[in-house]
Amino acid sequence: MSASPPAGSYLIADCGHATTTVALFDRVAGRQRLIATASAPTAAGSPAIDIAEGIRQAVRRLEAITGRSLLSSAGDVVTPAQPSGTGVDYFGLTISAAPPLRAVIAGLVEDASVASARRALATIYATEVDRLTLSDTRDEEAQINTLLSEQPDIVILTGGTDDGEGRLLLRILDTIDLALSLREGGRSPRVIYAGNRALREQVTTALGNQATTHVVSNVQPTLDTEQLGELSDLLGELYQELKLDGVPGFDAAASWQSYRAKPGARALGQMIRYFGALYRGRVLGLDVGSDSITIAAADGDALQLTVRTAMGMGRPLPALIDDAAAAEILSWLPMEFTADALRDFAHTKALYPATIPMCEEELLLEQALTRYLMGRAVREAGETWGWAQAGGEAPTFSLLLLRGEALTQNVRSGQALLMALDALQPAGVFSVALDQYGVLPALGLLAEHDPLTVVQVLEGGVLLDLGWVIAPRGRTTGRRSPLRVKVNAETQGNLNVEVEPGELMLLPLAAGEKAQLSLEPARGVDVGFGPGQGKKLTVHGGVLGLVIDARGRPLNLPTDDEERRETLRRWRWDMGG
Amino acid sequence: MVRTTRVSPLTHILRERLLPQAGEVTVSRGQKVSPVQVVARTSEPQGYKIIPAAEILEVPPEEVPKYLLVEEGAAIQRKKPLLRRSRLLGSKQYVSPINGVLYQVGNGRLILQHTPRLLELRAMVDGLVHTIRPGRGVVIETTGALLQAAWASAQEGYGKIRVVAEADAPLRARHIDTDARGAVIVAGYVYELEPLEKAEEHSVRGIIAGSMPSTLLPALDRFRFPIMITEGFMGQPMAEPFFQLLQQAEGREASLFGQSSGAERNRPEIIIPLPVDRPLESLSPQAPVLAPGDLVRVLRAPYAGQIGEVVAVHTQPRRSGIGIQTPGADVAIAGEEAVFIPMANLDLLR
Repeated sequence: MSASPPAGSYLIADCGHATTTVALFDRVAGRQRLIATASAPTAAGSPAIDIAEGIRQAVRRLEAITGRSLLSSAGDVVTPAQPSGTGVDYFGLTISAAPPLRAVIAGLVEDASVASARRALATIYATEVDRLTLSDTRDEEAQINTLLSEQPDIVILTGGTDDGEGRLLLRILDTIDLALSLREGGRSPRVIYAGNRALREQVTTALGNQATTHVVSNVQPTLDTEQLGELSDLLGELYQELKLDGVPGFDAAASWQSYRAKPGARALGQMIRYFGALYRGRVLGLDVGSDSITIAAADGDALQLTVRTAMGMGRPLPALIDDAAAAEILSWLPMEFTADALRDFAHTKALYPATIPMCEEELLLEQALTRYLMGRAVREAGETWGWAQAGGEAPTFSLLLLRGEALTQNVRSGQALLMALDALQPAGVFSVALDQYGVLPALGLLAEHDPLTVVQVLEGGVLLDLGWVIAPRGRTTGRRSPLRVKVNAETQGNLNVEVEPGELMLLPLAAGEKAQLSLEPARGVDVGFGPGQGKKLTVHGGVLGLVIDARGRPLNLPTDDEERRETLRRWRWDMGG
Repeated sequence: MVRTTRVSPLTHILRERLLPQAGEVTVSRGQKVSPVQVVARTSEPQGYKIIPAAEILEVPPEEVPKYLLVEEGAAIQRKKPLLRRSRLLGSKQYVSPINGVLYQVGNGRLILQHTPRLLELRAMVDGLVHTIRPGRGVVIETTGALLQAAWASAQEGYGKIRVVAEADAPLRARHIDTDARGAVIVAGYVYELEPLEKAEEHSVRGIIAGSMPSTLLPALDRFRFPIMITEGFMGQPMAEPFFQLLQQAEGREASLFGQSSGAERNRPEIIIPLPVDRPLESLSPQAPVLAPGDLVRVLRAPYAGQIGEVVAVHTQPRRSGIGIQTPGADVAIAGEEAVFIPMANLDLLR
């Protein structure tokens, strides 16, 4: 991070697959503020993606909103700001619109170094197209033919602890070497060696003439150590070099930028880490995009990041809906609907990913799909991160940050929160905020260059604070209350609430207003401090006030269809309709 | 700025034809081409076969070359001997399991390369070679009608247009008769497999419809002809401007370019060439800005597939019927009072 922050005006573009959002930050009354944001489809009216054109269109909207002139007559972003007031001091770019990096992971043991390499690969937009391990039952011929036909961009070779036995890894190296020697035409994949350090020279010598080989630290130098940093950083570099540079319009957009472009997921991860450090606790960020979903969890300074390509509310949708998925999605609908009609809808949505619902039925369909994707993405990320998955419950968080059009643009606040509570079923006491203007990646990019601007912009209230949620884990028998809550608010006075089992309720607490809470859970019920353990704590109100979700964890939806629909309608009503 | 779909009766068309991998271009710039003409070709690798020769012959790896009957790099034929080791008591022979080339000998194994498959790229449309993309293909220039579909199966095809059902009527098996042979069939929508199976039997060259249920998708691989959908998968009829244009082109040759399995990139196209004696201007590549009077198609329910005229454009967000704040336009649909439609749900037809 820069030692002396260069305060000034910033224009940051975030280019997603479906939508490009531009955000303008500038000084207002001595503090850095978000001035405005504007969006445009990334494809910008043309059948093909051209990110420069998408940015221009979004900036023109921004110009119309702010009355400022930001583009030259040739359509270039003007930097630095001119004395006439045209332009901005800095322009930056975050991108998730590039195609994913095609990767092959080769290594010894699935659960050890290969799993580590997969975790590193998951931090960028990548697709694992093949895997070569000791447990691979294919013969060498099949492995080689697959390596050739899949045309990977990168091959990650890993395995073995440092200075350990290397014979088995050399066998896999031999297969890769042979496959590379048989390639005809096309670009040779980059090989990344992240295994036993004793074999580095042998690997680079063997592959020297076949492919550019990068060597990084072993991802598992000892049986109980994992170090993903170097591999993860290199993957970021290679994504930029091999994929971002090839995105149509990137050259033009890159010629305007003041900083190196950053993959959108990495920029978001940066911000989640920032909040983790700020809250000194666990923060979960979730970005439900059109072509990918990013899940980021920070625990203090430590960040875990997973990007799920081939998962999103646009093109990937049809392939995600197998029979089990359809049953789960339909279970979130408060009206009758068939699996075939759901698939027809998903296929059509995949054709027109930027479209938004115009009737209640399609809004409910999109929200049911969103619940399914959020739940699955976090569940699967949790598995790779080694979260305890007892009963399918997510760990506790201090803050849940949500972004993506399905959660922030096309939905009421109560519905957004209900989707998150249904899909993730978080427990404990936590606050929830929406990236309502879609600026978190922009701030993630800025955080590296001007952290003070990030602090001031956040203080200015760019996130929509939905409020605090109290979600007990565990159930009581009969009608016995699982939780008593005493609220002592600054202006609204005292409130004593005996929560009924299964109840979902909004308590009035004005946005920003502080309140002292006293939580008294019933025996066996846990609000995050141990079963039956109460707590006094201070919270503040959000746009939804204070939320109590006593539906229990995991959620049990009634098995009777009509009863289930009625329950879903009631929850929706309880959260403001 | 808005999503755009071409549905133009007469326009200047540039159609790129590219090989999936590097190859050889077989036509020259300015040359007239017909749909069947090969414009580029390449050989598609079919993979390798690895023979553990040392193991088979029971000799050390370095001795394998001594027993080879074919030189490295030479052609090999299935069932013809590759290796022979003579012994006192008879000989041990190994025959080639494939046709191809003995690609490499090393480490005691033979790498055999399957004969590559010749891949020929045809023009698929009447026109002139406008640009050569060296080693990859060509851009063909033509004039005529151009329609962009929403989705297509991956195949390509061309044939005379034959409209067999109205814009809101389904394709039925009885529509596919002997006259359908070699034709591109147009109907309002498809809802069952039977007419498609009959179309395959009758050598139909393509089917264009408004919509099709997604349950049919897994079955489409077996058909050799392309199927193009102009609207989506939710039972929509074909939008009137598409249907009218195809109806007017009845009997003319149409080229169907699939190439897309969805989304915004490389939209599937229908080209109906029509020679003109005057130069036509290409459409500006600039993204269009929506304006009153524009013809638009609505992409989402409750107006999905309906065509209307833009009455007013709202660049500042407005509240939609279900409370979403978004820019959009007032659109008069079927002569009714204009309704506000979010910009994201509009498709400008031009």
